[in-house]
Amino acid sequence: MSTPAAPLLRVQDLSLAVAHSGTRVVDRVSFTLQAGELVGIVGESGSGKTLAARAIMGLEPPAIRRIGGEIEFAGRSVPAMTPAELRDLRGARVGMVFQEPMTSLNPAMRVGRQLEEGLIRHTKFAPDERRRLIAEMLLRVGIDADAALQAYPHEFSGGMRQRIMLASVMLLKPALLLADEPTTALDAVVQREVIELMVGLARDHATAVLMISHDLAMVARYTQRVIVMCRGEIVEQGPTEQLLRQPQHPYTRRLLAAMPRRSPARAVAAAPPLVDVRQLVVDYGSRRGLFGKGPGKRALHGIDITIQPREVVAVVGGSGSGKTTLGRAIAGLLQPSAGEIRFDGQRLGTTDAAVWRDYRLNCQMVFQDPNSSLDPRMSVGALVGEALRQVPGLSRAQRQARIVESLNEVGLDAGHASRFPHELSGGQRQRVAIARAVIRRPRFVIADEPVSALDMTVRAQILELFAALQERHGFACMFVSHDLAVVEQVADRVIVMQDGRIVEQGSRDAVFDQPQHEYTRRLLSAIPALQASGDGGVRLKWRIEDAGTAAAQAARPLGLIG
Amino acid sequence: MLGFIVKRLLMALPTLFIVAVSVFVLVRLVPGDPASLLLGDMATPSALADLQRRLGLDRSLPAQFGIWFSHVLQGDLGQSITSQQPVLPLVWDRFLVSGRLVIVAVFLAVLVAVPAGMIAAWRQNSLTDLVLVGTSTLLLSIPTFWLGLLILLLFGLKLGWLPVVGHVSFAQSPGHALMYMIMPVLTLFLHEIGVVMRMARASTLEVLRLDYITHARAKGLSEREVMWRHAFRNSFGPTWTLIGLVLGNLLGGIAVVETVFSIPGLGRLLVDSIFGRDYPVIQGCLLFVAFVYVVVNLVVDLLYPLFDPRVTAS
Amino acid sequence: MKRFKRRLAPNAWIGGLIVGSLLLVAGVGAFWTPYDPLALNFTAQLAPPGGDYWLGTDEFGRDVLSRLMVGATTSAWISLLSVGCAVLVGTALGVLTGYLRGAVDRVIMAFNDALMAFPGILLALGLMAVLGANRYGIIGALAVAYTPSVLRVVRGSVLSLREREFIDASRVMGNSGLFTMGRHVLPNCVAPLTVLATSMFGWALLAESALSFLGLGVPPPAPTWGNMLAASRSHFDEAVWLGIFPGICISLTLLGINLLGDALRDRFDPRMRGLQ
Repeated sequence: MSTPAAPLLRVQDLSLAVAHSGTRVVDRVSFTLQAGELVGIVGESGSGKTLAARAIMGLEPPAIRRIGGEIEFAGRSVPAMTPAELRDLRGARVGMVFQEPMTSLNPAMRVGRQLEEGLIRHTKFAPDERRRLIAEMLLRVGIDADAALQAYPHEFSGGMRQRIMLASVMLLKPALLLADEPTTALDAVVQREVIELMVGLARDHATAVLMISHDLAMVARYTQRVIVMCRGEIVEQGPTEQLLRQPQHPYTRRLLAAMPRRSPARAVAAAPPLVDVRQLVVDYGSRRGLFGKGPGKRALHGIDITIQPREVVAVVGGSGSGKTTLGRAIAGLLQPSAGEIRFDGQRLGTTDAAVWRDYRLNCQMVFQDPNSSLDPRMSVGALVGEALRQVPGLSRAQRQARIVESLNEVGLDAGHASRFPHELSGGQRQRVAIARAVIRRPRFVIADEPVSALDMTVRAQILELFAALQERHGFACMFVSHDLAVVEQVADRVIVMQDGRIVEQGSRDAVFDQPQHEYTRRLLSAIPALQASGDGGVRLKWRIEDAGTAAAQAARPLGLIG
Repeated sequence: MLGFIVKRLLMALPTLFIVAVSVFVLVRLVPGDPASLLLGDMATPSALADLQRRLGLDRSLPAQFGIWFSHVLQGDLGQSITSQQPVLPLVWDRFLVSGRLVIVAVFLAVLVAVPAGMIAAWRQNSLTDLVLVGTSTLLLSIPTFWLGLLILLLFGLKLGWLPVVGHVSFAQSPGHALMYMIMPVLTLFLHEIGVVMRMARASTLEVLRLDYITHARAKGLSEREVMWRHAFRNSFGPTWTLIGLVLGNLLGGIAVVETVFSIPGLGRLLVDSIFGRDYPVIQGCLLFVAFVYVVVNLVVDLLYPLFDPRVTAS
Repeated sequence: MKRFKRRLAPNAWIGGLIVGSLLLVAGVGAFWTPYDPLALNFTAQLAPPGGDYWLGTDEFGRDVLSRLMVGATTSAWISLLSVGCAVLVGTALGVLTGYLRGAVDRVIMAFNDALMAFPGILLALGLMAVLGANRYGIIGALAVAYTPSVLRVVRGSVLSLREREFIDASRVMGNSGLFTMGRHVLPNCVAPLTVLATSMFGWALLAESALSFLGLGVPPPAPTWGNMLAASRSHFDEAVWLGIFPGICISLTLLGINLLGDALRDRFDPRMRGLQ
């Protein structure tokens, strides 16, 4: 290439620490960014990536102090700027997009006004010129301008709010865009649309992008260079493809190894189905008693599913697809309006107490949020032991033994039994939830997004644990998830849901390699197919999304991009 | 929006109704013949019989309530035993006196306390914050009757600056009336600053943590613009609700301040009527104050969307 | 308990110290005071603080310190009883309505809202008119006046806890609804209830003092801080200390309760928010 120009952003030995305790949260971080470049910072929670990014604009939270290092933007030192100079910098030269679309727009101010604010602050356009620019930008991001300007943020969905946020930031044509987990809180399909929009806008205006994320696959897809952070330090950085293919640092390798990939297909023995769901219909507001107004919204429109013993069936879909409702209905937490559920041949009606008791012993559930699924006032031992209440004939000593055995099975030791949930990490809490679910050796486990709230490396461990337990104890499993990548690793069969209906189902390989339904294809286009490269790294291949016929799709192998 | 208003108005009606029922039942709980309770010991037998018929005491309790309620709706709250005057005008006059004090005091308190609370939140954990929080906690821990006594002691007795006892109505002499108002208003003002400042600080802290504040800063807005345009409106909601509660509370609790400064207000009326067993007045005061309280909270709720547009959506 | 390992904030220390002292004095005052608080002593009327009588005497020669101590006992006792009743009834009803919902919930809440339509002390005043102006009247009136707040808070807690996943987990385990309420929901209501109860103790103390000040509370000659303040008004010129000490007692106590309440709220709140 030509002679290297001066970098747009230069961070040198940046160190940040918690003000009153001195603990370092960012430790001697150094990297550069050229104009127009797309660079990603990848790390798990506690890596310090968000704090480092915020420091670039001088927006560290008040509890954090810069204790060393330099930040230079376009040749000028940011920490040395006066407050007025910083205010000129923010918005006009450096823009930031935030993670949580629900809370990043002022709920009490109309959208039009919020968009105008930046323009008023940094430019000298006349009011109608401003309006024209705003309308143009809203069109570019796919929002109807007339409706939007006078509306309040809460009238828009999460994805649309994120587009508005992008519009607001890009209106000022900043030279650098900091994107802090911009799509994490969004649905899988919407995620991709928003990211593509963001990258497109950046290309339009030659804006450099610093993309901060825990999602390595997404970062790998769109960036030219990647920086990997762990516990406040940069462990490795380099051109994206090369870093993926030949990772040097052990942490990078761990990260790459933790990316979900297809496991070998298993043969599930044919047998009469353990769980047989027929024409299940669930309506909101269908709980006991009338709700007054009408039948309410229909969450499930006549679902048919069967699950064989020892089989892992994954149910995927976006929010509003009904997958969680399905899980809860099968677990007996919701009353269906119609249809039947059979377990081991027995029909689950509401009358027969013995049938329910038997079902409860044999069907257990693991929930998504380890913060919310464990009673904060109970110790780990009590939490796991509570499941044994319904099991007759256990002496105290036997109970204790079973509890310890269960804890060991999930990778915890007996000492953990006396701890409380808030003293454990997210991964440990989920292990406790799993221990609680399997201690009774159920024959069927429903797992509702069990790893969605976890860091990538922890996620990999938990999935491994789950698979090991499933092998050992042989329970059937219904695995509900929005994340197809995870599903690729764990499932034998896949069911895709949209708007309360099943749109596709089949064996895992069939659905992933030859998707029939358009929605399935859209979901698949968002996740990479991993191939291990020789040196402990991976090569990512992306499927192209195509509206072609099923036959054409079947004839074509995975589209190769990147 | 219209739906929100109508819904809120409709919600207030059953509350008002049950309030009326409660007051009716409360007074009927007092042992003894209701008619002689309402007329007092000096009533003549014929007056008693007359009232018994008017109240419908020979009929069922719900019927009696119906009769009483219809009188209330027409503005007839009975007659005071001690002064022989109709209750409603009496209560209304006293209400004007008390209401004036309360509104002025709360208004001034909000004017001072909300900015102070926001500043305390802005400079959280600094010396300013500590001083402000300490002051507000101290102020709200001092009971209003003692604070009033101390102020009376200081400004009235020791320094002799302000008149100690009494009240002059605005109609007679505005200047004098103001002078008599200063000390009671000061008492209430100081106490309510403590209450309002804490809420303002707490709700501002909540708001400052949210992403849209950082986003506003990221746009390059100055701190003042961020606080005023973004933080204030969103944080004021809970404080606004609190103001409604405070106004209501003061309508009842002002009795102690009125006692200290010998002001003929609504609180004093209620207390005196309890001492004098003047049941029509007791009933009238309870009904009136509860009614005003419901209306005040209704107005507060109706104006809430100004601060948080999200409430109209649900 | 193991979870309370975090150091207590200065708020809690000061507040706890003050409240602890109050309760201590109240406890002692039930059994012993330097002088008989009711004994009339016409030789030592309106004696200023110092000497034999540490805080002076009132117009009847009664020792102010002793009267303050007994006043502490009375006020503490009344407040504890009224708050205790309110907590018991309010919690029972709150759990009931939160669990059952439906028609029962709506009816009880309608009455609750109506009771809350009477601002604070007004309800107490109204009830006093019926129950009579004495200490049992106060306890009853305050208990009724505070029950709605407890009901609201407990019901709110129950409603939000019902949505938490560990409640679902308990049902899936096969526990009955009743067991789940008792074992999981109720213990998790304790935290906000404790914060509220602490605040209510302060409100009750203030209310009792105010009512006694107005003459509607504990009748003389039994001393309570409120009625001592009321009586002091006629002797401001000669014996200003009569109006100072009772006021200091009330203010200090309320300050302590407020500080303690704040500290409790800070401690419990982040925990309730889901363990960051």
